[in-house]
Amino acid sequence: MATTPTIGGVSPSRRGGMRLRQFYPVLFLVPTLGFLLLFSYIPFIRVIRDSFYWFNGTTRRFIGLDNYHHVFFREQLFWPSMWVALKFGLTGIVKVLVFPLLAAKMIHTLRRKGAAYWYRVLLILPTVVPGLVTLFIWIIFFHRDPSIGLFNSIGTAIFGKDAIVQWLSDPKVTFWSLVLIGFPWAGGFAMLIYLAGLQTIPLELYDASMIDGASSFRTFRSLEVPLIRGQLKLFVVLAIIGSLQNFTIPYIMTGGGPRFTTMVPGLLVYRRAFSENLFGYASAIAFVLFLVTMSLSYLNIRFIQSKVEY
Amino acid sequence: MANPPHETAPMVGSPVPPRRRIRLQFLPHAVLLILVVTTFYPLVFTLLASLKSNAQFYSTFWVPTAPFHWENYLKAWKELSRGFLNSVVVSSVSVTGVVLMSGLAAWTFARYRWPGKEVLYYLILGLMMVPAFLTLVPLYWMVRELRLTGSLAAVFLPYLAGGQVFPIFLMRAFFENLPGELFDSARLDGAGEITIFLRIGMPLCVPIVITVAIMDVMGTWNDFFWPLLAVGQNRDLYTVMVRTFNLTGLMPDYGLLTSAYVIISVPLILMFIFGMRYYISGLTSGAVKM
Repeated sequence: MATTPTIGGVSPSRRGGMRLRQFYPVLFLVPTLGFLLLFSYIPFIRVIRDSFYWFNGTTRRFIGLDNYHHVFFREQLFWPSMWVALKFGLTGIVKVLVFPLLAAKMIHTLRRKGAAYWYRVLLILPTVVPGLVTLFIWIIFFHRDPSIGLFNSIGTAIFGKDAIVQWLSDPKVTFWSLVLIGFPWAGGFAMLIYLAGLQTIPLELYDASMIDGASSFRTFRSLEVPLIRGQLKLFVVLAIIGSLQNFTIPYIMTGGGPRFTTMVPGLLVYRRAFSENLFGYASAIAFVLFLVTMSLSYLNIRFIQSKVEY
Repeated sequence: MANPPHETAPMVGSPVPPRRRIRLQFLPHAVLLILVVTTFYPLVFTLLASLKSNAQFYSTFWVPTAPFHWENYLKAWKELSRGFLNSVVVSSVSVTGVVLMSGLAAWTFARYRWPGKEVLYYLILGLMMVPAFLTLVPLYWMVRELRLTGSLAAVFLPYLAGGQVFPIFLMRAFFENLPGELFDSARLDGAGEITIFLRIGMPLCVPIVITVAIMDVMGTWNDFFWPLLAVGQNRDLYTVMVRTFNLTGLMPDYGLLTSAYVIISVPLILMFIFGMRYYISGLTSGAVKM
């Protein structure tokens, strides 16, 4: 950064251009700040304001903290939806740790770099397919008619005609069906980052563990996993935050049902706002969720930065 | 971390002792092949189904069955073309605006010193914490108050704001690593600041610019809730995702539906294939040193 010029870092002989140059940084930021102000900051402030109002799209009336009181004490779906989000978060952690790490480790082990490259590409390519398409395909997989749905087709072939499962409408099953979507969850961002992390481990450490006679598994457990702890933690955090924010999957697959077993907080906000026109109330739920996400992120930033040492 | 990359690593320092190499290499290949096959199965399924009539689909979805019904693609395209065009407009405007504006902003943060810089930077970065559903309600009302709902601007204007945050973060790090002498000499040669940014800064950062562009196109092409809310009942302005969602609800014609799924995936897959190298390195560059 030593070479970064101060504003208008020009020779004194060109002092005439200096005044204009001083404003360059500010001018460069005008488009960005304009858009952010209008479509990010103002909406953010409006959400907070709306949360203190009764607002159904036509009439607006200040009601103080009533919306918040309702969220915590009268909203029948708030705590259940937080519970569902927690369950999605926990399963999400498992999903983002097991197979992506396995894939990264296996690719890292490969001797032939050409093969490693192609496995990596092949595992990432499907993640480029639009998320909505993946969901639509899994809706077909879960279809209750065995001649359409993959899972019931396999199930009835093995266990007979009575083995049909209502993957998307049995309250006992549906949550787990949604968890299953995208199996084996191996590709994508997490795998890439784990692999990149593994590749930065100094080779001397491998030599040392080899001299110590460590088995491959022992090397993995005692050397590699601790050294990519930062990356692993990052995705644990992202899984938890993602579970609080994502509502596309339940919206598309189940609408939050059956019996609200897949109702997540984000979908609750969406429903209360756009199906029931309770815009002020939905803003209050949304802002509570934002505060929860913020506190989780804060805890995690401190947690992540606590100890990473080589 | 000044260790050499693995590609050039000598055999001695390898994670696996050479003696056990052959046996151990079988396991990774087996595991990876299983993962690749299970990951790809839904895609293969979709491709196969897209060439079937409903009768063929019901009788067997495991294997391709002749005759192939290529007309499924024509029928699907007829349903989607308008939405496809809308999505192309939305994504192109968004990616152009985001790359230029966030590039310029990141440039300012990386290469100039001015008071209040870091405060403003973190104020922008803080927006990453704001989840999409939080601003969905106010944005919905704002595009109505601004009378934008009759045009695609309702869809892409908010993308031009929210889409900039992460790119500013990614590109600032890149720009800061460029050697300052380069710009000093350009400045001595009389180049203006905008010229320096466009002619020297951006070209040197092609990898990260491509990464940012791919991320933006993926985000805007795939988004579903915002386009649905933004244009309301205005069906002519539906993006391709909203159209596909409606189709899926309307007709249980699996050949047509799966053809539609293929059609809307193709642009992203093509883009990924062309930008893959940059995209992967761009994505991993930021998150490795943790």
